[in-house]
Amino acid sequence: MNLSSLRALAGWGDLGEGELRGLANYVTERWVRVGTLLQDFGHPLASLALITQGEVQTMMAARDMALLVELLGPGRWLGTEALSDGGNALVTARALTDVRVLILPIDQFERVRNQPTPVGLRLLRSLVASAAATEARQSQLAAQAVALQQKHLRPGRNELASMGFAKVAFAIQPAVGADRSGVEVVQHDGVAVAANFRPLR
Amino acid sequence: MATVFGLVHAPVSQPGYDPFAPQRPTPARAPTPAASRAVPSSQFDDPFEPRRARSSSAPFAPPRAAPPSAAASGESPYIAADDAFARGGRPATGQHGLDPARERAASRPYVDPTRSASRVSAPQSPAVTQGYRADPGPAQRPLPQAPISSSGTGLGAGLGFGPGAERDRFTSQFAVSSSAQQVPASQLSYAPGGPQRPISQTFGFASAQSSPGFDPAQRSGSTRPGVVGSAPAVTTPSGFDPSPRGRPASSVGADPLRIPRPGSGFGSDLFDAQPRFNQNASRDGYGAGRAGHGPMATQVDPSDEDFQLALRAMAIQPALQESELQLLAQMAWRWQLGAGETLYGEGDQVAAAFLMGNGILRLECATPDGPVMPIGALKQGDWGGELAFAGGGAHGTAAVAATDVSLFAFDMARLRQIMQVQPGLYVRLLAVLAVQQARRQRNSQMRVDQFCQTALPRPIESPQESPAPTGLGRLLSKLTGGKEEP
Repeated sequence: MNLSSLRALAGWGDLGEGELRGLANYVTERWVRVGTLLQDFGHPLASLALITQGEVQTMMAARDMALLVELLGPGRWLGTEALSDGGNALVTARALTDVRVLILPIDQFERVRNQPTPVGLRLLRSLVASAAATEARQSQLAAQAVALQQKHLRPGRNELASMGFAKVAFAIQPAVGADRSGVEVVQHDGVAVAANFRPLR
Repeated sequence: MATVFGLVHAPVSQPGYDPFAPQRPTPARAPTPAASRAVPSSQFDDPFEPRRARSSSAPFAPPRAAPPSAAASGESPYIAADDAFARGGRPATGQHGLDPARERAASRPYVDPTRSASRVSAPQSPAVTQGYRADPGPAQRPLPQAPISSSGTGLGAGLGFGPGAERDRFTSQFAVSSSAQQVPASQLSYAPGGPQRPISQTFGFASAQSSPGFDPAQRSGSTRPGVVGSAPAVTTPSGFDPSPRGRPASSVGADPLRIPRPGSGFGSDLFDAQPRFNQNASRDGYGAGRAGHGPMATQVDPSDEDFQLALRAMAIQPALQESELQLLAQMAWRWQLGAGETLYGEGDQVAAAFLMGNGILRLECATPDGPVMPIGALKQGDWGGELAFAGGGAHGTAAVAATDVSLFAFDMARLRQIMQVQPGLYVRLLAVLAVQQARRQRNSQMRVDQFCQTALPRPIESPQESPAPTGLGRLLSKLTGGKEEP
């Protein structure tokens, strides 16, 4: 595990050798291929992840629509919602490129809290800064949702598009035809098309 | 100390290893600008803060404003403009390429002439500055009495000034005694109970004043529960302008503790290219929407019931020790907000973190269409402005008092002191913040999810499978030559 690439991140440039060795006590490095699902909406989370290389897209899937939440790059944390009660993932995260992450399990987070060290302090400061950015984005989405709900009983496609929803885009949706298996809609950015599927006999 | 930092279980490699002790620099690394500072570089220096040279005589001095050319290199144009004005250079060109003064005059609404003196550019007339000095000055908020040394464990540890000449130089940088104007505290009490002052002054000056003779016990003279402090006098430095809006251009760079933020300083209204929401929040400071002042700040007593309840509601783990409680109380300011007052606006630069005492603070967020929607609330024990712990940034939401609110503010300089003096406490506070952030994220997510469940169109469903054929159906199928289904 080579953690020295952390020094390329903003705020981590003056990371000392001792801190690097201390960091290895807490985190595990993982390489993730492009397209891999890092976390799935609604599924329990057991760890946080600090992105050190690559890009990750977070999105929400609702019914047959998807909402792009954020594009996360190096220095951002993933899975901070694991710290709250329940610990289920609030968003689906997918690697847009090959991604390198540092995994911080929840029990290690508690160890960082209970046995403070300089590198633990650095980790938590980075975590708080990243979570604040995520919180700001989710606040915007929540405000738009509340405003749309107050304005329209059932918002139209334009309103939804202005909020960032896309029809069957980004999300991995089970096919809605036939026996609901086998087909996966990966990407569809065009106009939504209504279709009526009939099972083949 | 060992139990506070958890050294017993820390990953140690040798007896007596202190995980927070400064480490030896890596030989292979090139010297950083921070290493060349006169102030010894601490490993707890803000890692998110840009490394800039600082004056050795003013360890708390903010980074020097960027040169005008820095605007092209990604620096804030506000800083560049302020700096240009401070050096008496050519005024900045307005948004439309015209004289900024004309643009301002054309776009500015009517301003009461009796209050417009605050917009006068430098140098201000003595009458104007005298008028501002009648405003209550910053309360003396000296540092607690502790051994001040560059290598000790007191509050001065790591700050880079020793007990001798350097300390004198530090105090003379913020000297207020010789030219200060003594204002009786009785004239400055906005509420019974102690010295209070506008918030716009809280972060401007007092946070770095040093008084060797400070005794925390002097602050406990109040008889009113929850409000503490009976300092006999409050001093106002002669060169200190309490109103950031009225600060002359030539003094923009002179305030050593000024935190550069968009919208502050003369000529800043030229740069309002983007719409700003929650305009009732002051551009220049916190809560200045109340007649030019903000909520009043008072010092905090460790025995303050609200303070203790807030700390208890915060549910910090492991629990606070007495010394940590004392430290937090010394570093905090108690603020009061009336219902409807704005604590900070969306997009404002973070200057402090807030621990909620009593009341409810509503979090609001502006939508692209314009309306500002409530998206959450802060209650007792919740933290706001958590980016102050992480080195600063912009508030993602606005905070408006839904009821009368009392809260405890920790400005960034004080937070940095906590980080240096009690890093273990700082780490635990960060952990509390992270958990609270996760909870707020979940609440926001629930709102979006609720919207999705109720407002989104139902997905396209496949046609229902044909029901099990009846006897008549089987007969008809056989008559038409169809295949009988199993």
